[in-house]
Formats: sequence, C-alpha cells, structure tokens
Amino acid sequence: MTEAMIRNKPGMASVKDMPLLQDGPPPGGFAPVRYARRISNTGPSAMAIFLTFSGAFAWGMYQVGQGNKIRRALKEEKYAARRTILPILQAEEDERFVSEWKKYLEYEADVMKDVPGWKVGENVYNSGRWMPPATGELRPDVW
Amino acid sequence: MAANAAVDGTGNPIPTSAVLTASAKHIGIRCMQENMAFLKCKKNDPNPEKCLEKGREVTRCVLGLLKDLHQRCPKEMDAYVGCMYYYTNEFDLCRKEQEAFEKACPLK
Repeated sequence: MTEAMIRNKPGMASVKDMPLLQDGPPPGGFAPVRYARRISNTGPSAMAIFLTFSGAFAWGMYQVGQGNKIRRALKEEKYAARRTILPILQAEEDERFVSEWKKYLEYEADVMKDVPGWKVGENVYNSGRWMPPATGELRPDVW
Repeated sequence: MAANAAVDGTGNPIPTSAVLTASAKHIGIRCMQENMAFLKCKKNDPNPEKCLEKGREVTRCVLGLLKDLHQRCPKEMDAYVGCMYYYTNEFDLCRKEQEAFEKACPLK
C-alpha cells in the first residue's frame, strides 16, 4: 500500500504532513568512541634489542662457518678420491695413445717415403719437451 | 651385463668410474707407491712412451687390488658400487653402503 496509507495520522490534510520516518541515533545518543593513541612504552630497551640481534647474527655466522667446514671436508674427500684414481686412468690413456701414435708414425713413413730428406716420426717443436699432437687427427671421434 | 656390474663374467674387475671411486680409499692406501712413482715419472717427462712401464705397474696394482677386494667382500662391494653408479659417484649419498664396505674389507 502506499506510504500515505501506512504512515497516515488522523486528520492529515496532505502528504506533506506525514510523520517522519528516519534512521537516527538512539535516545541519549551513542556511546563515546576512543580515538586517542595508546602506544605503551614497555617492552625491551634499545640495547636489549641490539644485543639480541647481534647475538643471533653471531650465532648464525658461526653456524655458517661450521657448515663450510663440513662442506670443505666433503669436497676434500671427493678430490682425494680423484687424486688416487688419476694415475690408473692416465696409464690406460698412455697405453692407448702410444699404440695410436705408433700406427700414425707408420702411416706417416708410408706417405712420405718418397720425399727426400724427410725425417719420419717426430718433427715437432724445438724446445726439447714433449708436446701432445696438436691436430685433431688422432681422435676423430672427439673432434 | 648390467652397467653397474663390478666384475665381468670371468671375475675380472671392470675399472668403471663407479668401481674406481668406490675403491678409491683402498687404492690410495695400498697402491700409493706405484701411484707416486708414476706421477714423479710424469712430472719429469710428460712423454707417455717414457712412463709406460710405471703405468703398467699402476694398472697391475689397481686391478689386482680390485680383484682382491671383490673376492674378499663381494656383496658389500657390489652394493657400494651399485650405489655409486646410481648416485654418480657422490660419496655423501652412499654413507651406509660405504660403512658396510669398510667394515667388511677394512682400510688397513
């Protein structure tokens, strides 16, 4: 039904005389609201906070050092194992290389047998030290 | 034959990386003389033809040691080598097998 039929007051002459229907505060008003700051001054002092922080930092760095010690020991173990098996691996590679090198020298002698004044075999550098062969011919599978 | 076998059909040890790293500590103790002699020879002259004899000593020592280890404690060595193969020669991941192996075949 229309507002006039709901809110009417007896003896109303026009709609403009209807009683008010508003949302408002309760009688006596609302309770007071606190909006002031209340930050307490209790708790640890600055020195206490600083010392706790320094202590935690020092303890953490100590743990880092201990961890590095452990990791270094692990790496040392790995390197020591590699050091012990290096000679046998090198010996096997030497055997393989020597047989390949002999075959290569024979091939060179065969190819250069008609060239006068060619000293077959090693005509490498003049320093007197042994240098590994520089071309990739001996290991075509690698290169 | 599986790739992580320590010996081939006739009982000869195969020096794969897993087998060598598994027995590295034993090699370091039992074949130290031959290793040092070979390395000194190499330091003098890097030519492979000059150090062939010492290299053969090293190979003989290491392969003999591997065979001896495998004969004395086959199961522990196989377990350790299998673990090394699985974890690609990472010592820290195979501590259990390492302890069992070193208890069965002590480092002396």
